[in-house]
Amino acid sequence: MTLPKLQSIILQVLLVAIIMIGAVGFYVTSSLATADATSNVVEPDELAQWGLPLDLGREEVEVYCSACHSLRLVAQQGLTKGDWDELFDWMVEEQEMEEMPAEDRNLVLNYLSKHRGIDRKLKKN
Amino acid sequence: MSGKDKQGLFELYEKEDVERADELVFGRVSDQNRRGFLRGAGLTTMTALVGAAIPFAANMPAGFIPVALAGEDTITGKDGLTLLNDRPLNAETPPHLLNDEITPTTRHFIRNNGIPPESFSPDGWMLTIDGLVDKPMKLSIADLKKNFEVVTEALTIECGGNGRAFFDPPAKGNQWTLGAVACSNWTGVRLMDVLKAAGIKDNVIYTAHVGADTHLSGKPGKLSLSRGVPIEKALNPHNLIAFEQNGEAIHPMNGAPLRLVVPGWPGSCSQKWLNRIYLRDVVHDGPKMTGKAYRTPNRPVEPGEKVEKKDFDIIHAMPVKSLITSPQTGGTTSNGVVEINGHAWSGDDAIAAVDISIDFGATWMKANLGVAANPYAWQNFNARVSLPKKGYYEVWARATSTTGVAQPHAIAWNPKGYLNNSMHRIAVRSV
Ligand code: HEC
Repeated sequence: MTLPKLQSIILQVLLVAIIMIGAVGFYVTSSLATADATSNVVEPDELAQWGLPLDLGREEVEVYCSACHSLRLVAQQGLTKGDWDELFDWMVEEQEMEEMPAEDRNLVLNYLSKHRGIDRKLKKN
Repeated sequence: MSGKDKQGLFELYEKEDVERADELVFGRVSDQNRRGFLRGAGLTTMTALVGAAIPFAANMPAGFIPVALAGEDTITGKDGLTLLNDRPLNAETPPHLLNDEITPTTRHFIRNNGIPPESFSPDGWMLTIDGLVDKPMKLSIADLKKNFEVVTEALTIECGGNGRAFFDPPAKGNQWTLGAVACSNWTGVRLMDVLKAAGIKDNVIYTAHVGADTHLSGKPGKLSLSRGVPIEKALNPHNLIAFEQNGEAIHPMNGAPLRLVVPGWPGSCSQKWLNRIYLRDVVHDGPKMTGKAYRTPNRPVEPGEKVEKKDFDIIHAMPVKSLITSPQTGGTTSNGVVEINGHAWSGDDAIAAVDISIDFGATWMKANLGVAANPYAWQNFNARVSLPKKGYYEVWARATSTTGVAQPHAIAWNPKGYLNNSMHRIAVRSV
């Protein structure tokens, strides 16, 4: 077997392995995210793909922030904690959002400043 | 297309009767047996959307949505737009799809602020002109056509937040990159003529525009956006109350059946689904006129700086800017030659020159600059550059307005991410 051929086989094997690892990883995260007790249908975790990974507080973000607009609008942002907090006030004062109970507001604030801080990467379209 | 994006299309079919939805979405009319495409109406649109001829099209029942559309990122009647937000719909056009001198309707960006109206039909649509006028008027679209001169002009509309995605630190709002700009042909009557017919009272200083879309919260009567312009700008002869886009019905998401086109100023001044204009003796204070919306600081600020509300001014004209629309960024050339095309525009002014650099701005050459189809149409430019040897190059474009203002290298950072007119750069490899 010639050297280039061998290289190409190794490459192919590697590629398949990477794809499999990727697929398994994807399956695991998505089942974590959306499989619930009543359903065993596993959907891909769309929110994680947008930049809102599963973590403490994400559920509250879904509950409080998806009524008026898509969470895509939330996922696009990268803000400091202070600016997120200010944005909630704007949403309440000017956009008819109901004030969140303090405990939930904190969860949402912590989640968004952790995952959608000013160092956030924009999803490549 | 994700499940959520598809919602809009399927919702429309649920809400409307299927034939009406067919017509709205594909421009489709079926035969008496509710099959096929009467005189081919809508077949081209559907063919374009599925990307292939449909041999058995005559068998398709009315209200049929091709399954091929369920799996893709398509916005009905639009082609290749990048979705930023599906609810409200916000989508921009990649630069290489803006290469046409006049932007086809399929490639005009969408910036929605609220929930679009239920119907986009011109039948029964009424426009009210009131406030500080001598004779308040209620006009149908037929009245507009009958009573005023109908004109067609190519007009540039750019979202105030185009280019926001490049702000560091990031600025709030939709993260537009380069493609929230377009120059379609718009047909309508002059805003100036209509306001004059109503009789502008002496104390008027501002217009106020109202559209039929509603606030995202669903609160009855609450507007999502209502902006206006100083009366001097409103009286510019190139502002249109438009009922056609590129010679056809306006795309529903671009404001059918009636919209304002106030070119050269932030797109939000060009109210979509227009149903009322009233004149005021104060600066209009509708939603997104106040606070920090469509405003920039009254002085240069440091990136990330906190600026108090009182230090913000309302944006008037958009800044001088250009876009390279061909070649697409990231391409290669095998003979070292690159043919460059693009457009340049500048708020209320025209463009005097476009310069091109292939060496990161060290040296510049003049591009060939076309004349505008009419004032407020963008100007097309082209240039042929030769890349001296193999390697990685960036082509930069820099427009200069007739008032002598050129595009900057850097972004003038502002808290809400408006007016980014820094130079457009594309990557080219010579191989
Ligand atoms: C009651 C309705 C409502 C709710 C609930 C709501 N929003 Fe909004 N939000 C709005 C409206 C209206 C806008 C303006 C939309 C536009 O300009 O396209 C908006 C805009 C935004 C923007 C863009 C801001 C800008 O300056 O353009 C962000 C970010 C945002 N919302 C985040 C959130 C988050 C986070 C939550 C949950 C804590 C939330 N929203 C809940 C109504 C709402």
